[in-house]
Amino acid sequence: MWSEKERQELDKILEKYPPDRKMSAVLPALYVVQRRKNYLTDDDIKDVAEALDVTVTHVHSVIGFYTLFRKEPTGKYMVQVCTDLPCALRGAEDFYHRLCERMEIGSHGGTTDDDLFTVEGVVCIAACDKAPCMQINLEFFESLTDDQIDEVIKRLRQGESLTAVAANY
Amino acid sequence: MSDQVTLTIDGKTVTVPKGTLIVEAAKQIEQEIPVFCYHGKLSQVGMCRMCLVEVGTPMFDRATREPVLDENGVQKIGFFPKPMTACTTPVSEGMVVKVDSGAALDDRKAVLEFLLTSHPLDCPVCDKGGECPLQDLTMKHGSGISRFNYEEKQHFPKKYPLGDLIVLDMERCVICTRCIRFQSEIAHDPVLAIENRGRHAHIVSYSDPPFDSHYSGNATDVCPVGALTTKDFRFGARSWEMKNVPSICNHCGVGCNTVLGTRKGGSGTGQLKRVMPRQNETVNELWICDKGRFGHHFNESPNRLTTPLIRQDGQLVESTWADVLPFIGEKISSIKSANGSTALGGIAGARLSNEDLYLFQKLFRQIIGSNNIDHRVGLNANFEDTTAYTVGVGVGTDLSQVGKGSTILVIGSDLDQEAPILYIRVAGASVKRSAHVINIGGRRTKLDAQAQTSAYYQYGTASYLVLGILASVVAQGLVNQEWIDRHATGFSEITKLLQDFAPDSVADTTGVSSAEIEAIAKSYAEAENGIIIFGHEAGNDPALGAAIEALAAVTGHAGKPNNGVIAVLPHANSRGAADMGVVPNRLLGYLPLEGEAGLSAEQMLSGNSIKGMIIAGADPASESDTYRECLQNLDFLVVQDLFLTETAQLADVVLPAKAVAERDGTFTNLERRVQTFDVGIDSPLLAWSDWLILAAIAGQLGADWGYASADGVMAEITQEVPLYQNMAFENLVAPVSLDRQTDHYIYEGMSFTADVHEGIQWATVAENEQQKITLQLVVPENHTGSDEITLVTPRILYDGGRLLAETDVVQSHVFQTRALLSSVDAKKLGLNNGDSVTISQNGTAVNLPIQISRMLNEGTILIPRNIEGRPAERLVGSSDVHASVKVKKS
Amino acid sequence: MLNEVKEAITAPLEVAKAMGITLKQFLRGPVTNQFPDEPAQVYPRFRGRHALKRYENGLERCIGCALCAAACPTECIYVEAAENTDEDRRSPGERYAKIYDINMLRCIFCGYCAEACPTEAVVLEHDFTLAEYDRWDAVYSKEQLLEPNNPEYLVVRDDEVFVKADTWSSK
Repeated sequence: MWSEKERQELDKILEKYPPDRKMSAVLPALYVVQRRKNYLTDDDIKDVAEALDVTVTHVHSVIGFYTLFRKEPTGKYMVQVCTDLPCALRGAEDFYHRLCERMEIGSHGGTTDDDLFTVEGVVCIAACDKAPCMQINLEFFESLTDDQIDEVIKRLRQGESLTAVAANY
Repeated sequence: MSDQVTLTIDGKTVTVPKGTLIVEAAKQIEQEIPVFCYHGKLSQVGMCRMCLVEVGTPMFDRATREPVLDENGVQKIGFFPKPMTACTTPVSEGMVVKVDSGAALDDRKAVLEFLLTSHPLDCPVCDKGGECPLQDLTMKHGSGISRFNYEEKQHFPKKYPLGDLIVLDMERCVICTRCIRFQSEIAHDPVLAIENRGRHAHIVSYSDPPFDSHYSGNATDVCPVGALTTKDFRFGARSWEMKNVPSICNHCGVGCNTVLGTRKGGSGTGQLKRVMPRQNETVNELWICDKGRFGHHFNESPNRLTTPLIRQDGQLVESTWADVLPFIGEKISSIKSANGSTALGGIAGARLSNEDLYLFQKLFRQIIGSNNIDHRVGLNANFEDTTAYTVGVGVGTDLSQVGKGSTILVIGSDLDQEAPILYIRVAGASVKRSAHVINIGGRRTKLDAQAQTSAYYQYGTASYLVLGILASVVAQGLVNQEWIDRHATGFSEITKLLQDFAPDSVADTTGVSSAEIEAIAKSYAEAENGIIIFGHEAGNDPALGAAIEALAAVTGHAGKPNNGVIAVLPHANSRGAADMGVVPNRLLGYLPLEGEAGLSAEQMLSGNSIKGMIIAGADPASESDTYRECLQNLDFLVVQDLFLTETAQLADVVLPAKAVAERDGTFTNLERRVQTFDVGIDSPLLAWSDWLILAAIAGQLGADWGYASADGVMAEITQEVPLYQNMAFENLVAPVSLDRQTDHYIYEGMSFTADVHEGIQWATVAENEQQKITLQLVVPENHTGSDEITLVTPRILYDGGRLLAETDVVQSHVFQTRALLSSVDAKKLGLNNGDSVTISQNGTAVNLPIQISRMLNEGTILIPRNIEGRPAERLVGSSDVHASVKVKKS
Repeated sequence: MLNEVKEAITAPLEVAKAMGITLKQFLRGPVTNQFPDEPAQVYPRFRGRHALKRYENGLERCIGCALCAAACPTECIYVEAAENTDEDRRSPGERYAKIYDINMLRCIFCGYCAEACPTEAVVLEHDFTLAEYDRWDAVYSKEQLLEPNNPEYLVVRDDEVFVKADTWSSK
C-alpha cells in the first residue's frame, strides 16, 4: 500500500503527465516503491499497476527491460558492470571477474555474505568510452583499476556514504 | 496529386493506393516477401527483419530538385545503403524494390540463421510442424547450415503453462510479438508482455488468473512458430493428417466460421482434433473465442446418448428406433383424439438448425394442428426480437469496415461475455477506425474502455432511455424525413406519444442526464452510418424493441449496408428460430398467424392444459421447479437431445440426436446471415439428425414428406419462405470470388485454405421498396425506483451450460457460483470477499458467497444466468432480467 | 582370312569356357533352402518385419512424430502421439507414440519409414514369416513391434558383397 508520503510523491510525478497518459509514469513510480525494500515485491508491482491503470504484466515487462529494477532481494549496494562488446574491448570482462573474486562471490556475480554488495554483469550502462566502469546504485565509477576497486569496497564497508565515495571518481 | 502510387517490384510494375506497405503491394503481384512479425490485422513493428528488401527511389539533385539522369537520359535510381523492412516502409512514386536479388537474398539467409541460433530442432514433435512459416521459410530461404555453436543455445522450460489453455515453449519463440499485439490491439486484454531483453527475452503473463482473456486461443493461430500451442491439441495429430471440414460455431449467435480438424482413427471412427477459425471478414475476421475453440469436447463425451430410450416400469431402458417411433405416433394420436390437438405442444431449442426448426413447426402446424410451439426457454427467456425483420442491419453490413463517421450504439449488452467476437469487432471499429461507439448499460463493462461515450441507466429503464433519445432526435430536428416518407408510416402518431418522454422527463427515471441523452441522440442521428446493438441486460419489455425500431427508422439508419439493428440473441440459431416461426403467435418468415395464437413456452410449462410434448434440444426442467413439476405431470413427453438432461430424465421416450459436428445444416446468425456447416465426424451409431427424427415422427402420424437430406429440407424452405429464397445449399456453398481470397493471410503456413462461402443475408423490410414499416410505440412498463438492491442476471460466456460441463479443458474457467457486489454496498453491509450472503426476493432466498467487483454501480448485485444451481433464475424467474432483492449477511 | 583363322582357334575355347561354368554349377549341388526344416538365410540388408528400437536405458526411441506414416507410400502406418509425464515416461523427450500400428498386409517393405525416422526408432528387420490366419492379426501393434524379434529360423549371411566406393568412382 502507498504510504502518505509516497502518495504525495506519486501525485507530484503524475502532475507532469496528462491525465490519460498515466502509463508514462511507470518508471518514476517504480523508483518510489523500490525504495521500500530495495527490490520490488509482487505487492509493490500491483500498487504501481493499480495507481497508473496499467496491467501488472505491463509493469513486469518494464521492470524486466531495465537493469535498475530488481525483483529479488539484493545487497545495499547494487554493483553493475557492463561486459558488452565495447567495454569488453577495454578489458571490462576480465575486470568483472576480478571484481567478483575480490568480493569473494565466485566469478559470475552474486551477493556478498554481509548482504552489502550485489554484483551483476549487465549490457550497457552508457559509458563505453570510460570502461572498465561500474555503476553502484545510481553513481558511476569510471576508468577503474584494481586498486580503486579495493578502495571503494573498503570505504563503503566502513560506512561512508555512497555519494561521498563517488565524488572521488 | 493522385492517391495512387506506381512502383516496380522485381521488374514488375504495380499501382497501389498511397500509404500501402511494400509487403502488401508485393502481394498484389504475387511476389511473396517472407514475414514473421508482420500481420495484416496488427500494427507494424519491424522486429523480425525477415522482410528485408533493397529499396531505391528516383534520384533528384539536392540543390535544384531536378531529376538526375544517367547517360541514356533515364532518371537514376538511388538505392538506400542498407536494406529496408518491407513491412514498415510505405510505397512511394517511382520506387524500385528488389526482393529476389543478391543483397536481399543474403539478408534473408542471415536473418534466418540468427532466428535459428536458439530455435530447437524439434520439428518432428512440434505441433506446428507442417504448417509452420519458420519451417517453410527455412526450407525456401535458409542456408542449410549454421555457423553458431549448437551447445550455446538458449534454454527455457519446454512446457510452460502461459494460462490454463495455452502452453508456451519459449525455446521456439522468435519474439515476433504477434501474440502480444493481438492481445492488446484486437482482444484489448493486454495480459502478455516481453520480460528481459536480448537473448533472455521471454513472453510472460502476470494477470490473475494467468492469460486472463476470452481470446487466448487466437494467439496460437497468429504465432508463426510452435511456441504457443493449445493444451487440448498438444500432440493431437500432425497437420497433414487431418481433414479440414468447414463448420459454424454453435456456442453463440455470432456464427463464427470454423474449421474442424478431423482425423480418421485407427478403428475408422472420426475424431475431432481441433477447431480453428475460418476467415470470414464479414463475420469473425480471423478470430474465434476460446469457448468456440475449446468447447467442442462434448462431442466425444462418454455421457452422450447412443441409443433411443423408452420408459418401462418407471425406468428408462434402451430400445430401438423401430420400437420407439410407432409408440410415439400412437401416443400422440391418442392424446390428439382424446384431448384435441391443442393439448399437444413443442419446444425446440435455438441450437437446432434451420432445417430442424422448419420441420418442427411444420410437424406441429400441419400434421398435429397445434400452434403451441416455442423456442424461448433458457437464455432466450421470454424475449422475441422482430426488429431484425424490419430494421435489421442492411445486407452487406461488415463491421470490420465500419469506421469514421459511423456511430455504434450498444445498449444493455456485455458483448465480451454475450458475443465475444462482436465485442472484438465493435471495439476494433472504435479503436482502429475511429467509429463513435456509445456504450449504454446498467454497469461498467469491458467495452467502456474502448467506447468514446458511456452512460449508465437504472436497470429496467432502458426503454425509457431509448424513448428519450428518440424524443431528443425529434426535438433537435434530426429526423430523416425523406427516409420516413419512403419506408415508414405512422411517424406523426408516435411524435405525440414522445412528448411524454422528453430527455428532461426521463432523466430522473433513467439516471442519465438530459445533456447526455441529447448528445447521444445527436451523435447517432447525425452519423453517416448508425448501428444499434442491444442485448439481454436491456430487458425484455416490448416497448424497447418498438422504440429501437422507431429510432433506427426515424433517423434513416436502416435498409442500407452498415446501418440497422442487431439484437444479441443467445444461441447459435436464435435468429433462425424466429425466422422459421417457432413461436406461438406468428408463422414462418414473419407472416401473421390467422386465428388464435398458441401457448408460449412459459404458458405451456406453467399451466395444465398440455398433455403431451416434444422437446428438442432444450432443457427447461433444469431452470425452474414449476417447469419440472409441469413436465412430470405430462401424459407423454418425447425429448431429443445429445445428453440425458434433467428434462430427458422425465421423458417417456428419449431420442439420441447428432451434434453439429456430426451432421450438416444451416444456422442464421445475428446479422441474418445464413451459413452452412458440413459433416465433420461420425456420430454415435444410432444417433439421428433432428430433422430426420422429426420427419420420422411425422411419418408415424401419416405424413409422407420424403426428405432425403438436410439440403432437401432447405430446398423446400426456399420455396416456402420468401426471405430464404436464395438460401439453397448450392448458393450457400458457392466459393468466394478469387479477388477476396488475396487478403486471406492467416493461411500463410496453414495446412488448409479458405475457398468457401461467406453466407447470405436476407433482406429486411427496410430494404424492400414495396413494403413499409408501421411505426408504433409501446408505453414502457412502469418503473418504480426502489431503495433495495437491484439483482441483475446477465448472460456470461463460461456458464454452467451442459455443453461446457461436458468439456473438461475449460472447467477451470467456468463461473463458480457466487454473487458479485459493488464495493460501496459491500462496505455498507460490512462484507468482504468470500463472505456468504442471503439474497431474498418474494419468499425465495438464496445463499451465495460474494465477490466484490469494481465494475458494478452502487445498489447492484450480479448473479449470472445459467450457472450451477440456477440461483439467478430462481430469484428473478426465468423470463425477467432483473429484480429488487434484499441482501443481508448470513 | 586372318579373322577366320583366329575364329577357328578361339571359338572352341569359348565353348569350352562356357561348358566349364556349366560343369562347375553342375558339381556345386542344389541351392534349395529347406526352410522351415533348416534356417533361412537372409542378407544383412534384407527388409522384413519392422521393429521399434529402444535406447540402452530402456526408453523407447519412437517420439510419435508420424513422419514414417507421412513417408509411407501405402499408408499402412497409423500413429497417435501422447505426452510423457514424469510418472509415466516412455521416451526421452516430451512426446511418445501412444498407438503405433503397422498393417503388414499393406506394407510393401520399401523402407521409407526407416529412412524418414529422425530417431532411428523404426527399422526393417529380417523376419519374413508374416502369414496369419486372420487378416486383423496382420496389424501389428506397438507392443508387438517393441519386442525383440530374433527368430531362430533366420540366419544372417555375412557374405554380402559390398561395392567399395573407390571401385565405382574410378569407372
